[in-house]
This record gives sequence, structure tokens and C-alpha cells, in this order.
Amino acid sequence: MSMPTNTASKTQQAPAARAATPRSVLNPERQASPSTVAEPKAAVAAGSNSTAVASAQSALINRAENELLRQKLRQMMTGLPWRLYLSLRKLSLSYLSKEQANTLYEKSIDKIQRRARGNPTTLRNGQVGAAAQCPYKHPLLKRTFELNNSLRNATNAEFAWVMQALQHSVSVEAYDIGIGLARLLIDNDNQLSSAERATVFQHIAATLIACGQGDEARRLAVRWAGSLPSNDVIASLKISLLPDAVTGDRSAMILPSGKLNALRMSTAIQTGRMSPEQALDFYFDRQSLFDSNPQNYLCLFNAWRKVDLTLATTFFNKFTGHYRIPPVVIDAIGDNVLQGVSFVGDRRLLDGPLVSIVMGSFGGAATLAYSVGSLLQQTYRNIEVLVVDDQSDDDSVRQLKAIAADDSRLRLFKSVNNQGVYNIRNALIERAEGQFITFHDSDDLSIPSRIEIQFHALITSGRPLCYGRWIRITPDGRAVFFRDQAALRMCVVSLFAHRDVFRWIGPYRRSQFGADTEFLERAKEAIGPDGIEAIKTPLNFGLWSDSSLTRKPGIEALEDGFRSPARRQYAQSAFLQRLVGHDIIDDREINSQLNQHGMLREPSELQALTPASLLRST
Amino acid sequence: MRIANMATFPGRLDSLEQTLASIHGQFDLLNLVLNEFQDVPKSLRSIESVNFVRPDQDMKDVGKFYDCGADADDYIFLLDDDIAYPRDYADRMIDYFETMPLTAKVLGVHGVTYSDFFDGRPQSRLVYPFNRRLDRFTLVNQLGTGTVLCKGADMPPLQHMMCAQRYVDVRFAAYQYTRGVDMVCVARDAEWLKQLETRDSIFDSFTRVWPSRVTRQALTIGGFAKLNALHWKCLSEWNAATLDTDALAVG
Repeated sequence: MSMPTNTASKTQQAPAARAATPRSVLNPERQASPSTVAEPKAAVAAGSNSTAVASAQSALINRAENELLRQKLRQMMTGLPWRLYLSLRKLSLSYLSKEQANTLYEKSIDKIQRRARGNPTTLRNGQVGAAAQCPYKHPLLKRTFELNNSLRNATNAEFAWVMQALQHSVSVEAYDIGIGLARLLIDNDNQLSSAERATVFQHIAATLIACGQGDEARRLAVRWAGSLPSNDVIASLKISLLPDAVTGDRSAMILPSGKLNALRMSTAIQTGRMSPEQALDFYFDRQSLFDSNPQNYLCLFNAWRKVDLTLATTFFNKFTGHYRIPPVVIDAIGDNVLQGVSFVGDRRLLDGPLVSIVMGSFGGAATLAYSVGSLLQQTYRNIEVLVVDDQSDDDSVRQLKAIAADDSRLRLFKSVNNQGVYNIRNALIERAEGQFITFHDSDDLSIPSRIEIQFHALITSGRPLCYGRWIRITPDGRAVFFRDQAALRMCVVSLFAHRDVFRWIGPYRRSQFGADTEFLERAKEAIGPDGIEAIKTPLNFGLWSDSSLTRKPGIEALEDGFRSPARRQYAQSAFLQRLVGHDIIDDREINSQLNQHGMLREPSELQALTPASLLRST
Repeated sequence: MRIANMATFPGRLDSLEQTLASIHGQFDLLNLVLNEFQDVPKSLRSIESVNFVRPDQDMKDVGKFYDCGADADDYIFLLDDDIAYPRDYADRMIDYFETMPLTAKVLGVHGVTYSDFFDGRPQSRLVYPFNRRLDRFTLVNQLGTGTVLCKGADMPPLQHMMCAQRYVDVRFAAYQYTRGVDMVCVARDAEWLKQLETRDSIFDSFTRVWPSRVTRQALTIGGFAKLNALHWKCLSEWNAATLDTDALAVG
């Protein structure tokens, strides 16, 4: 078998197309401008040697305001990140020479297709009731099976079982079950030992917060104060429960395990209780805390982004460098920092089977340029980007048409009626011509090698589905840390799979939110965890703004752990459906619940906006 | 007034006679639903205070929900024809009912609490079997309807139960759950109630797969999360303050 013909490549690589793309991530003009890290960027782009890198670093250091800062920059840059980045980059590119790609592809694609088509009978569509052996593949469903088995031995040990069940309800986000279990334990806490309180508090607090009862969690923390252990989870929870009590005290920035309390540091910076200078001093005093977990550099980025974007970007790139992704250049924070982000990268273009990238957009005029641009500038060139404008009332369509005029890989559509992102996905999956399909949100930015990395992950693993990670960034440039101390998190939007996976597992539920998570969980059960590749690399930078679906009132899922009632109900019902099958909890029931919250969307017709002559033949 | 309801069928005649002997004199009225009988068996005709009911169709276990026209304040006992009840059954159950602090409640001897993640398997339940000892009164999701005491006001309409043949326990529990009535499994010694051997049963083994609607209903009512936490506390305190476990011993 040979590699599929790259039908798009003849037109897609025209320099004019890149240059004409607004906010192009590889805009030559911007690369030539005296931006904050122009020198290292130029060195990398030119594929230069270590002398050029050293020169670039020196230029950067010499621009520092005083000797103290220069010393610190020198110390920080020793050995990293540029030189290491260059060597790693060379290595990573070697894997996809044409011959190697062909060999890998031929070996893998049959296996991938076989697994992607699956066996329809392995998706439960009936009762589990008679099953003696565990019928599940998904680890959380297996855990449910074991938890259920343990119940019959719980006579006179009911609360021990309830505590396990509560922990499980947090794991599967069945918070409406969890709140009942938490209530049972809270109201009967005289029956809990101190050790039991210490064990269960984190799960009770997580549940109360998820259900919007943080005040009660605070009261419980006070009431149980004598029982609570000193561990990382409790220390992190206290920040969510008592954000006003977060000070800039450096000793409090260390978790009981000795790791950096990044959530506390980020919170202290955000609230002005830790100054940028204090943050930098802390870094130089305790550098190992940051080196041991590169996402912690984002605390320093957060601290300095409004004071010295040069220094802030350097810290950001210490984070990206760890994952071998290109350094970023940030022109300015502005109204939306992602508008000013570009990547320093080589121009190597990679070939392979067609990959379809599916995207819905509503009111995305302010973000489409960088969002779509980051896709069209992918190092993996054989892509088609299918974008639906979902009845926006702004300038979106005009912008999209302007971009599409210069790049035939962009296929535009318009919803006749607003229909939500998952109806759009279902419709575009039908129209996608790629052997692989993935997704993108209209306010997110993909790193240039995102598709390359994901394609490579599937081909080398023989798995039919993968996803990567992302960081969430507020419009004013703050990298968001969540209650679990993580800024770098799983990115379900980046789900990338062989097209047959969607025929097997799909379609997406017609929900306004959360259907991608449900899809992935269904896939985990159907394909099995060993059929899914979890890529650790941050592939996307997601905008964390008030317009994000995850922050929209009524369907929000916030960084402190709160989940809206609609989101809680959907997550729980979808989990139980996976547990017992569609015969017992059918789709109509879940759809009805969504409808009660006004979150079930009707699909709408699509109109093609791209000139027919530019559309691929079907 | 103490009223008992029970359903039987010809295959149970042997055990029925033992059951009737065990409850003799404990109730003011026994409504005995005779499924599939052509006539009232001669061996039963002499028993006092029995209202024999021969339904037009086989009502199976739904028969125990026969509409006997009870007043709201009457005590209704639901009985099974394959259990031998102790001599103090009615008195003790009524004593529990009257002294227990919970307002809206149904008492029973056979209790079930489902897993909060019930998957339809019998292993996904915590069962307090009626013939085993239980050292405290405890809230449960469901009671075996052959061991139930409730007030007339809490009896579900027969029509409500008609479609629930073989699964009356789940339907009865769902009825009480939606009305906010607690289900309490009573403390007792082992073998306070005894299982009688039978040749036939209207209940199959639990190992068969439940119909989807029954599993769905169990999911709706089941789980510790569905129990009233404050009532659990109230019951625990009452257990601690009043329960004499030595007094549970079967004499």
C-alpha cells in the first residue's frame, strides 16, 4: 500500500496563501519585526547553529534593565531552552521521512481500521443483570462493577461502603448521587472516626463545591479541622474554599509533599498578594520546584506577563520547550492574548493521508483569524478544514470567506438555523473526506505540529483514536490553574480518530455542551483503554473567557470544581447509561433531561459557502 | 384495626396452612386472595376472620394489594404464604411502629438497599434477609412485601400495582419513595420469621434478568444517596437510646 495522494498540496502551499491569512502564525512580516524574542526565533527558523543561539540569548539578556535581572536571565537560560529545543526538534522530525512514513503507514493502517470498525456487539445495548464476569473495558466501569460486588458484604459496615461510593461518584462526576452520599456522612458524622473523616473530606468537599455548596464545605472544614490531614489535596482544596485567605507567604507556596503549590502561587499573583518580583525571587531561590514540573513556569508567566512580556514569554517557552513544541512569540497581551501568539518553527511540510478538521463557529469574528490560521499553518499539510458558521451576527462569514479565497483547504458552510457545535460535528463528519477526523474550537489556537503529532501517534501506536492536552488562557493572558494544581489538562476537543470510529461510536448527542466527553467515554468502553493514545504534549491553547461554553451560565464547569445542574445531570445520566445500557436508560430520557434545561439542540441544514469550484469532489 | 393481606395459589397449599397457623389470632381480618383456585379449599373454610377473594384473573403476588377498604389509620400487614410468622409478630411490629420517631414510615423485616450505581445484578444490593439477625433498625430502599406493616393511608391502590407482577417489591418501594415515606427494616433475631419449604414459587430466582423497566425503577429509588440522612441520624439515635438487643432473642 502506498501513501494516499495529497490532492490538496498543489494549492495549499502557495506562499501567497500564507501571507494573506490574517494573523498568520508564520507571518514572515511578524517574524522579521523586532519582537521580544526575535533573535532566538530567527536563529531557530534559519536552522542555525549553537553560536547563533548563544548570540540570540545574549541579545535578549543585554536588553534587560539592570544587572540583577541580567544575571538572573543568564542563570535561567543556561543550557535551556534553545539549544535543547533545536536538538530535540531535529530528532523528532526524522521520524517521518517519506520511506519511514510509508512503512509505518502500511503496517499500521490495517490494524487501525480493524480496531476503528470495532464489533457492534461490544457496545452494551441491553441488561448487565445476568453478567457474572465483569463485562466492561473502561476502568471506571470496572471499578463500578467491583464496588457493586463489595456491597453485599457491607452489613454493619454501610458507611465504609458509602465512603467508597462517594469517592467513586466524584471520579465519574455523578455528583447528584454524590451529594446524597455526602449528606448521609455529614449528618451522621458522629459515626465517623477521625481517620475516616480525614479520608472522606476531600470527596465530600469536592462534591459540595461541584453542587454549589461551597459554604457548607467551608463550615465542615472548620468543624472537622482536627481530623483533616496535611496533604496536597487538602491544601489545594483550602485554596478553593478560602481564596481570600491566600497570602504571598512563600512558605505557604510549598505543598506538604514538597511540590510547588502552583494554584496558591497563581492565586496570590492574580490577587496581587505576590508581586512579580517576589515571584521571580522565589523562582531563583527554589528553581527545582519549577524544573520538576514545567507547567509551574506558567506561574511566572502569569506574574510577569503584564510587566515584562519578554521575560514572561521566556518562562512560557521553558514550559513549551519541555514538550518539544515550538517556542511562542507574543506580540502583546491586548484584548485576547491568543491573537498575538505565533510560533517559532521550521517550515518542514509533511505529507500523509487527508485529515479533516471540523469546526463550528458562533460569533467568532474576533478569534477566527488566529484559530483557523493555526490550522492552515499546520506542518502536516494534507488537511481540509471544514467550518460552519452557526448563524453568527458578526463579521465571521466575511472573514472566513476571505481566508478561504486564499486556501482551498478551507471548506465553508453556514447553518440555516443556529444548531450548536455537536449537530455541526455530526453533519460535518458526514461531509468530511479525510481518513482521519479531528476537531477544533473557534477560539482556540493549535500548535503548528498538532496534526503531525496526532497522526504520528496513531501510526506509531496502531491505535484508532488519540487526544492531547491543552492549557486554558484567559483573554488577558493568565494561564489557568485548576483545583488539582494542573494547568495542563486533557483536551477532549483534540480527539483525533480514524473516520470509522465515528461511524461506530457516534453520533454526538445533540447537546449544547459536554457531548464530546460522552463520546470519548463511550469510545473508551467500546475500544478499550489500550485502543486510545493519550498524548502528553500540549496541542492547543484554549481561550478561557466568559464566552467559553464551559463558563456560560447554566452550563458552566469552573476551575474551582463547580458544575452547573444541567452539566451534573447529563454527566451522571450518561455514565449510568454506559453502565446499564441503552435498554434501561434510553437516549430519549437523557435528551429529555437536556431539553428541560434548554440544552438539547435541533439539527439544521447546512449551506455551502465555499465556491463550488473550490470544493473537493465527492 | 389490624388487617392482613395475603395472596396464594394451589401449589402453596401446604405452606399456606403453616403460615395461617402461625398468624392465627393476630389480626382482626385476613384478606386471602386465592389465585387459580376453583373454590375455597375445604381445609381453609373453618378459619375465622378470613375474607376469601377469588379474582377473575391470576393476580399472582399483586393479590396482596387487594383493596380491602381499610381506613387510613388501620394497620395493614402484607404477608407471604411461605413464611412462618412468630406469635408476637403483629404486636411487636405495631409496638415498633408506634414508638419509632419517624413520622411517615413503612416497616418490614426483609430489607434491601441498592448500590447507588445499581447495574441490575443481585450482587449490586445489600440485603438484610428476614431470617437473619439485624441488631438495629435501619433505613432501606425497599422492603420485601411479605414482611410489611404500613398504615392504610400508605397502601398503594391496587391499580397502581397491577402491572408489577413478580416485581411488587420494587413498585411498592417506588410508590413510597415518591411520597417521601421512609422504609425501615426492623431489628430482630435470626429466625424470628422462618422461611417455609415450598414445592412451587411465584418468585423465580433473582438470577434471571430483570425487565428493563424494573431495573430502571430500581435505579430511580435505589442507593444510599436516596435515604433521608437526617432520618438515618434520628433512627441511629433512637437505636442507641432505646434498643435492647437482648430483647430481640427469639423465645
